[in-house]
Order: sequence, then structure tokens, then C-alpha cells
Amino acid sequence: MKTFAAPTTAPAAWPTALVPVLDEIRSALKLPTFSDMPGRDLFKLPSPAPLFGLIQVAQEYAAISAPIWIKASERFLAEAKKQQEAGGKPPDSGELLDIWNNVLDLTMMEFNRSNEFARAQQALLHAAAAQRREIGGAVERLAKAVDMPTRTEMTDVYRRLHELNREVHALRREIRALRREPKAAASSKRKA
Amino acid sequence: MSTPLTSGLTQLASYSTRAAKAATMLSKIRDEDVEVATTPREVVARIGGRTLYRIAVDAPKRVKTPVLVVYAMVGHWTILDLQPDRSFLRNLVEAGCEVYVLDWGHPTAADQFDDFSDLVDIYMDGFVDVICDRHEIPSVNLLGVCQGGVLSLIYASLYPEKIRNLTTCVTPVDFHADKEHDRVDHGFMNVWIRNISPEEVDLMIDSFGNISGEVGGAFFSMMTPFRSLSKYCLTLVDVGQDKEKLLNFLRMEKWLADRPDHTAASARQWLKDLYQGNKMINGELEVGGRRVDLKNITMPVLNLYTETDHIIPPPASVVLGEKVGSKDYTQDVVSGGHIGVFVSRDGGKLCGKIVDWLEKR
Repeated sequence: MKTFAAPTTAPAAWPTALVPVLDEIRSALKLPTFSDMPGRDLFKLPSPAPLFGLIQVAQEYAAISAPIWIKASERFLAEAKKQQEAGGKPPDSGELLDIWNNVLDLTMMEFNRSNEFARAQQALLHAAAAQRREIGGAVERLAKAVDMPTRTEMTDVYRRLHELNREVHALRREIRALRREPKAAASSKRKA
Repeated sequence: MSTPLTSGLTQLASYSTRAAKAATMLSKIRDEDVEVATTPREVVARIGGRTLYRIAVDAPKRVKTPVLVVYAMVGHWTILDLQPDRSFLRNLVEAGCEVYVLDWGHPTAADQFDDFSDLVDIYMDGFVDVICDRHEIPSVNLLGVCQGGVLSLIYASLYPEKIRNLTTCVTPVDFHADKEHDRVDHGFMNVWIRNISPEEVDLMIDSFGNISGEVGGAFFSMMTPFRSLSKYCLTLVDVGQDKEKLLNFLRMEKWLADRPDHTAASARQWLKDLYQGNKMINGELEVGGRRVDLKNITMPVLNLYTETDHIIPPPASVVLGEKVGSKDYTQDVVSGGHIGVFVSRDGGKLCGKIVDWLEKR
């Protein structure tokens, strides 16, 4: 049985970025730091490693899901034979199509609930998240370089907006309760 | 004499003819011919990106207290008004209710921090107040569908004084009940989510933010994998023989394509606290710093579920009666699938059942 590799990041041997040349030179020659020289981030291009990791996961998924078709075909033949024996004649093409649909659906449902599929999903999640982080990081650096809002900045804005929204609604609830109090007090005075 | 070869060729010819007819019929239909949610409605209030609608159809009222319908955030509420002869909302009005519906809208990245507390304390409570003020009443009838039913249970347990009667439809309560159900075609979501760790849920939410409608749609397609793949070559050809059936199919497709994103914070709670932790039924769910205790639900409760629900296995719903504090609990089986219940031509019977129950309370 094919087992999925545990979800990991791409091997360290993959090149992860364009070599920060200035940092290397500075380190080798023990040069002082210059404040206005271009920083390391500007040179860092997105690494292809997470993308290759994602492609690898997709290929492994294809490998473990291929046997579904063999299993479905075997079940289909068995079911068609069973129906032929029961009915005394071979099923027609419409009946065969129905058998195929049901058998394939059932086989795929069983696979979707299997441990293999679960491991595949975990690996896919990790690989996709790594790819997303890599691309997100690259776009973020580019956005900073051209003075555009970044995802981090926008998320911060949304968080503050959300907190303000909560505050506003809490205040509205307090005002509503306070408005009700004089009415309730007046009503109880009248009853007294 | 008919041989397997001639029989097969005849079948092929028949399929080709049917496919050609379906293609011809499809070529004459435009997007504007396929409308959903056409029952007249008016905007009553907006809070952020959420909207409260009132169904603006005149009909004699048997139930004085208005009904607020809360659908899930997964999929759009418009399935409840798919077409005039298959409209749960219209049927409810015509059966004798004043009906409001909460539209969760289409969340964007700006809504990513909306969690259960925001959904319940800000939007639901805000709209309940609007309805109460409009009608000068202290409480409403609340009707929740699926995840909307879970939110309704949470609301009813935190604000019991504001709910006169509670109805839940195809609502999961025990998210681990599928373990004893053991049907390969039921409860896929339960299995899938329990197969990933809570840390992986965090990884997914932290990496991708809101759960996009497309990802949610992909999960639902995995529940009936081959049927999802084959609908455009088999089902479409079948329904393409009749214009009304074709339009009905296309309306469903339009609704399926309208997949709102699910806010990140509430998705995290939905997956971790409910699907994985099953906290609501164990009395461990906290919303806005308050514990959700189903025993606080003391108003009359009507719980409707279906035996053929492949998304919410029936055992997940039926346990509600043991958990609420209500002394007036009614449970009933309705026919149809998870969505079929609301788009069936027999929708009038379902609404009649609900209104009969409400009228007595």
C-alpha cells in the first residue's frame, strides 16, 4: 500500500532564494553595515520549492487514486454479471451505465473516507499553505517596494475596524437598555 | 432480431438524439431567463454587509409573531426561494406567516474576524431588535436552517427572552453522531474534518483566511463524486428534454455557483469547536465569553430533519430533544434531501406543518 510521506516543507537542498550577494560579500570581507544600501528583502524572489512540493503531492495523490478505477471496473463487471444471471439476459447499455455510475460513486466515496485519502489531504494542505505563504511573502515585498498596501497592513486595518464595530454595537446595546429604563421606571410609577 | 450490437447502437442513437435536443433547448436560454429569489422582498435593515429582508407577499396571517429565517453561511439563502413554485419562503408566507430572512451577504477579507459572537450578538440580535421594534413585540419566532439552525440554537440559549418559538431544520447538534451511523454516503464532512488536526485547521485558516466558496463547493462535490462529475453529460441531457426541468436545473446551477466565502474566524470555530470538539452538545462551547447552554432553550422547539440527508446525518439532529430545557419539544421527519426539503414541489406541506405548530403557540 502506498503510504504518503509525512507533510514536510521542501528539502533544504532546493535553492530557496537568489543569493543575497551584498550580505555574502559583506560577511566575507567583514565590511560594516551601510544603512542606505538595498536590503536583502529586495533581492529575494519567490522560491519555487513550495510549488515543486505541491506538484509532488499532486502526483502522489494521482498515484494513490489510480487504483480506484481498477477496483471500480472489477466491481462493475461483477455487478453486471450478477444482473445478467438474475435477469437471464445481458443488461442493456442504459442499465450498464447506471451500474457504472453507482459503482464508481460508491468506490470514490469509500476512497474519500480512507486513511490514504486523509493523508493525501493533509499533505495537500501543508503544501498548498507553504506555496501560499511563499507567494504571499513575495507579493508583500513587491507591494512594499512600490508603496502599495500590503496584505499585512490591510489585515491590521480590518482587525481595527472589527474591534471598532464591536465597540459601536456594544455602545448601541447600552444606549438601547438605558432608553428602556426610564420607560420601565415610568411604567412602574404609574402602576404604584 | 436484436443483438447486443444493434441494441447498443440503438441506445447510442437515442442518446445522441436526446443530447441534440438538449443542446438545442440550451442554446435558446440566456442568463436572464434563469432567475432565482424572485419573490418580492423589501430591505428592512442593513448591518455591515448583512441585510434583513421582509418577504413582501400579502397573505392572511395565521401566526401573529413574525418569523426570522436564518440560513447557513455556506451557500446563499436564495435556495429558500429557488423559483415561484418551489419557494420555501413564499410557501411560509402563504401558509400564514410574516417572514423575514437574514442575508449573510458575500463576506470579504474585511469580514475575516467575524466569529460566532459577531454573527449572533451583532447581526442576529441587531435584526431581532429591528423586527421587535417594527412590530412592537418583545420576541420573534426564529427558524434556522442547517448552520443557521446552529446559530439559532446559540442565539436562543443566550437570548431566550427574545425568542417566542424556535424551529430548526436539518440542523446538526451532535457533530460526532455519524460515528455510529456508519453509512458511506452520509457524513463525509464529519469524517474529513476529523481526519485533520486542530493545528491543521489553524494552518488552513491562517494561510487562506476566509474559506472561499469554491473550496466549500469542492467539498460538497466530493460527497457524491461521480454524480458531480457526470451531471453535465447525463443529468443535463435528461432534463434537456423539457424546458421547465431544464430551467429548474439551471436555477440550481446558478445557486450553486453563487458560493459566498465563509468568514475565517467563524469557520475556525465551526470546524474546531463543533466538528472536531463537538463542544455545543457537551456544554463547552463559548461564544463572546459566555457558555452556550442548550438547557437555557426553554421556549417551544420544533426540530425537523430528513432520513435521506447525506450532509447532516439524521443522528446528528435527533439528539436535540434530550439537550434543550424546553418542555414543549416536537420532532418530525420530513421527506427529501438536505436541500431537496426546501425546493420540493411539496414544500407547501412542510410549511403547513411549521405554521400549524406555530399557530398553536
